[in-house]
Amino acid sequence: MCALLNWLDQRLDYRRHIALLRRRVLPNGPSWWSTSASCLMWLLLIECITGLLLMSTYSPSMASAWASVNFTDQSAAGRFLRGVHHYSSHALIILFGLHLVRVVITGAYRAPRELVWITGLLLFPLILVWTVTGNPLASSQKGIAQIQVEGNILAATPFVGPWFQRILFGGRDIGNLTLTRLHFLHVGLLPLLVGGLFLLHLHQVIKHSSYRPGVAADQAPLKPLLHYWPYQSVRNMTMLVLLVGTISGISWQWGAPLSAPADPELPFSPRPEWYFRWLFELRRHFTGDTEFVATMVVPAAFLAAFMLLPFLDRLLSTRFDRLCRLLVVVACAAGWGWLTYLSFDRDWNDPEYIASMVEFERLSERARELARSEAMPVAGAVELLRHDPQTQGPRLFARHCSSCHTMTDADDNGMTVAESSAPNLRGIGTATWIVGFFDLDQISGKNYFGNTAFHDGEMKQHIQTLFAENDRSALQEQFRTVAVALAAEAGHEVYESAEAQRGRSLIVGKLRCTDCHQFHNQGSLGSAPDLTGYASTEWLTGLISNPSSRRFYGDRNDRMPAFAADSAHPEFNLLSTLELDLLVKWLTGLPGDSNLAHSQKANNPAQPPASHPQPHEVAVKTELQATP
Amino acid sequence: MNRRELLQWLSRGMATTVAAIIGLPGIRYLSGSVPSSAEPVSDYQRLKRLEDLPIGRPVMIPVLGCKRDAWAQSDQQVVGRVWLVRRPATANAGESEVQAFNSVCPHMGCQIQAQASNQGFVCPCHRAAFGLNGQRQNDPVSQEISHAPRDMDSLACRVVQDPANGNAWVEVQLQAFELGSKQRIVRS
Ligand code: FES
Repeated sequence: MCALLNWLDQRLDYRRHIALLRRRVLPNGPSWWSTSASCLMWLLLIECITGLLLMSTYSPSMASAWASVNFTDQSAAGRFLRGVHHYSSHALIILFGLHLVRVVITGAYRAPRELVWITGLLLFPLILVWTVTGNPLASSQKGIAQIQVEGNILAATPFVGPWFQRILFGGRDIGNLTLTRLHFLHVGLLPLLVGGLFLLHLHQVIKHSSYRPGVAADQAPLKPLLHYWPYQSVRNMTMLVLLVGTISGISWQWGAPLSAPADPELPFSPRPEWYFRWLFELRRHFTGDTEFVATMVVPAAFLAAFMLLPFLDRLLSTRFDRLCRLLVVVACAAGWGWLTYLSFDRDWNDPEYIASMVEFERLSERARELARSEAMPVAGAVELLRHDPQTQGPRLFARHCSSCHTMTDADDNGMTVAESSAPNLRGIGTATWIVGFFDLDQISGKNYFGNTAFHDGEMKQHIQTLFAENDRSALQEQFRTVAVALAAEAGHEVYESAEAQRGRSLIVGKLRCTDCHQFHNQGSLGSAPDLTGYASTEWLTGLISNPSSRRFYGDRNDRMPAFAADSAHPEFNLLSTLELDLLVKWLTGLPGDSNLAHSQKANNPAQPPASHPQPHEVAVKTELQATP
Repeated sequence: MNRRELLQWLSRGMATTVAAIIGLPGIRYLSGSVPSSAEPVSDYQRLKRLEDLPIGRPVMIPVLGCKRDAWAQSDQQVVGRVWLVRRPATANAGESEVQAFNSVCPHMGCQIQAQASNQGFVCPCHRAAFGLNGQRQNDPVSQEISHAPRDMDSLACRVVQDPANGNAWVEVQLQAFELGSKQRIVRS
């Protein structure tokens, strides 16, 4: 082994180089402050390694980006690595800021180290751009909304802006090419640029550092000179271990965030990352033509001013220079902090924004949950939430139903209307819901027919008659049985149970429901809604499509619109086939008729086939016709 | 020029040529025109029955069409969204009963939302507010000046009667406009 190393050393002379690095001394001795540079370097390396590993799974296209990132997250190691990659980038930016502060305060940028300063300073915006290109790669709503605005800020640059934006987006709009371009920048071009600049920086640092004994000797003649290795190195490594320990702890615990797949349908108010918040706040004060002052001129001016610092510094008198530098740092930090605070404060005090964020977080959680439990659609993760009854149901209900119907529990929690004019649909089709129709107070109350044309209709009168003719408690017991039988029609109760059987014979027999209603092969349509398959997904789909059809309310229908009556032009219906399907599934809480149909067919061949419309993705749009 | 100089210049020239052979196509490749992602929709598209539109409450309708995204092309995709505002029938007889606006904010392109009160629009990104007629307004809460460079982009919209079944249809011509400019410039 030793012989091999000797052989290598004879050819590479590596021991001399390492010794030079080790025997360096810092002019003021080893210090904790000086650990920032080394930590930055190692963090950068960690970013590169974790990034490289993540690259082995990531797939940049609109249909697969989110899915592939989510796939990474599903293995514990992948989730951890992505977390480290994510949180290290934030740590890198914080640390970089501190590093700059230290360099300015100590005046370490002075001749002959101007290039150390300038290359280092240029690395800062490059690293910011690096994170900007990384955030949207998962094609999550947050990332895509951010890059959309950032791209448009870029496009607002005078003259070259639109051209740059075209290169970045790979066209006018965000799409597949945007992701491949961002990926190219993030893992190809920017690492090369940062790497090149970093090497130059390192070269300058070492060339002008105090490893030459002469330089250090006359600066600190009184102190014993301690070598970099191990006196500074041990401090560096302690800091690094603390840092990486914190980052990995956070990553292990929470992983990196992944918001819902990008979908313009989702409610979202994009905000930049925390390190750009100050610009976001600043631009509020520049409207119209002056806007690019905030987005372009101010950052560029700051960068230029800082780059010139080594030269401006010479103009200051040496008596106050340390104070001046301190003032510059404090002023910048205070300005940055104040603007950042203002921006966050505004959002935190905006209940609308908070509500939209809470809602969005809920959707993101749901999307991840669906991605775990369902197969990923070929068209991409965006389809997950679009086809999820639990997500779409409440929205469709709010948009189409809630101007008349409520959906509230016994304590009035849920969707309420100022003036409900139709039954409360909470728990529709279940035995508890149905049994309310058989109670004189309830049927004419606000949760059932109270605010409709049927509040004193034949149904109520029939119930009244039954109560007059029968023993009250026995009748109530029978009603409960009937409710169970009807609930079994939709699959809320077990169809074959003895109770349901009894209920079915009561419907056609003693309670005379089939005098008005049809129930399987008894009774006839035309005077009251069909009880066959009552409140099943198929039944509700029919009812909502056209409540005035003979099977439901016919011409006695009270104000309920037909939501999908036009089968010739389904695209113009109030509800598309897909929307109707999602709404009904959410209303009933039933997965669909398939299980039910199966069990019913086995035991009761007389059942009508439970045909329910297949969900179609989008209604077919026909060509324009009949324009005058 | 002596022989030595000539050879130096020759070497530099050849190096530049090689760089140009690779570099120019590279730049051309990155900035080259990519087919636009949405086919420009120039025709009126039928969106809604007039009777289905509530009066005075804005409704957002997605417009479907053929969408091209680099190598992928798919039909029946949302290529844009329009806000429709139906006015009471008593409004000026000369004007269309329905107004249509592109939902894209003229500022930076976020999706404009309806205000909670339904009495206007607001963009969630930088809080540009607009009236029901699409006109720019100051922020309803803080009275700050709007970030929007112009009013919402109104779209050509007409109501046509279908003689076959007596339905009145709302038809809209979807167009996209340049962002950030004071004038409406149709995106080419
Ligand atoms: S994008 Fe609408 S206000 Fe800025």
